[in-house]
Amino acid sequence: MKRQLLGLSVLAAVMAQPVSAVTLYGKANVSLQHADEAGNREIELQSNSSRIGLMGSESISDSFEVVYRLEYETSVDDGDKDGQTLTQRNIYLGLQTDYGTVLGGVFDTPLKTSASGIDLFNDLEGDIKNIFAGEIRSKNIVQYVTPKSFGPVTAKVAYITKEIDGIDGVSSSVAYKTEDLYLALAFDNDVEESGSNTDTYRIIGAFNIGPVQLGGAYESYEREADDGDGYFGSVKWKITDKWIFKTQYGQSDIKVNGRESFSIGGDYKFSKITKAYAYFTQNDDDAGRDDDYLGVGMEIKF
Amino acid sequence: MWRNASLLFVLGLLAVPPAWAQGDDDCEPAVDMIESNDAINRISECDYSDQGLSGWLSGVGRSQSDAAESPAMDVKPVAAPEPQLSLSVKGIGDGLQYVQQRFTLLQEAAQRCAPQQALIARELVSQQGESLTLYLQFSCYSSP
Repeated sequence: MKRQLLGLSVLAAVMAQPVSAVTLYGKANVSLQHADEAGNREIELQSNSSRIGLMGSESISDSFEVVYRLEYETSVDDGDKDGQTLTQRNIYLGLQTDYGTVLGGVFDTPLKTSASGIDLFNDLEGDIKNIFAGEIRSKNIVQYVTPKSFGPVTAKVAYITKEIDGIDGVSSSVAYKTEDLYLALAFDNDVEESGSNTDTYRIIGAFNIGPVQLGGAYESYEREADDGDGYFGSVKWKITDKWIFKTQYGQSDIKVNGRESFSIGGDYKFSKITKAYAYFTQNDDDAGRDDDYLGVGMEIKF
Repeated sequence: MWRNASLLFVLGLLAVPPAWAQGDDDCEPAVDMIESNDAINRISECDYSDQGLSGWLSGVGRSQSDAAESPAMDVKPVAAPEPQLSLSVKGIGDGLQYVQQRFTLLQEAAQRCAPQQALIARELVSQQGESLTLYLQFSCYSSP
């Protein structure tokens, strides 16, 4: 009985402080693919944005919490990521109140994160960045995010200082999310690291019909005299708890005239955190690019 | 041509949705949650202290044989060696909300901490005298 009381009193003492915890997280994702890039054929082992990170929150008063995230990428295939063992991904430190959160660091812009749910081949050869501009992780970015009390609406405004000659950028988004519906509008102005006078507009939508998720996006891009637009659509079908079928297609004139990206594939989930997958991706454009990729891979999230 | 075929295949699947559709109320793995558009408002919502590498580091990853050899594990109410689950909810403004939110947390604990759990600590923190944050901590038992 004394042991019981001792145990409970220790735990009660621990709980006298507001809950805070550091979460160590990450994933290893590696695939073996046959790449046919404009006739050059080879077998490649790919590390697909494998990463490890820390995140958490720490209450510093009744009204303020410090939130943080430090995330690094590592290459499972050859151990070399741009000459480094680890490279920075999303890194931030912020202050959260009932009125919202302010963050500073290096992290994905509001426009980029607005489409994170519909790109079903993200980090693979069929990544949405093949056809859309604005997939940017900005440095020296300060961002405000509306609080959780806004319910299904999340709005973000980010200011990106390039620390040179006052050519700074702004990225913003407004998203509405329920269990079965996701809608978002996003806008970038002069966010690209090289160059100015760029505007990017993006509209994103996704909804669920039973086990099927349909997603789509439209983007318009303007840069001085050049402009272009494109669209994107994806379908994910949760066939069973184990099997997922997915496909997506996008077309745009934003990066190169007539660029198309088509992907089809499937996942087999061994558990909530482990899966094997297979995919086929074709990327081509009017400039003569014609790349095909056929691969199988595995992922574990921890 | 095969693009058209795949499109027809997809449309065919949509035309006959299976009856075993189901949702997943649990938080997704941490690496997915933090990539979501509203991640910054969910960091304190999802507790990963007993999952993944964090869970392993806090001792949850011990093997069953190690656990069986531990004398402390013979006395269930001494909860320190057991995996623990911490849940919280902000913005409680009145008694009805308190009851509803507490019930929601108990339901979540029952799902995530199956087959048996015990409420071991509860705390209410006032935020500028306007709303309350409720913290609950549970011990999870692997067998009834």
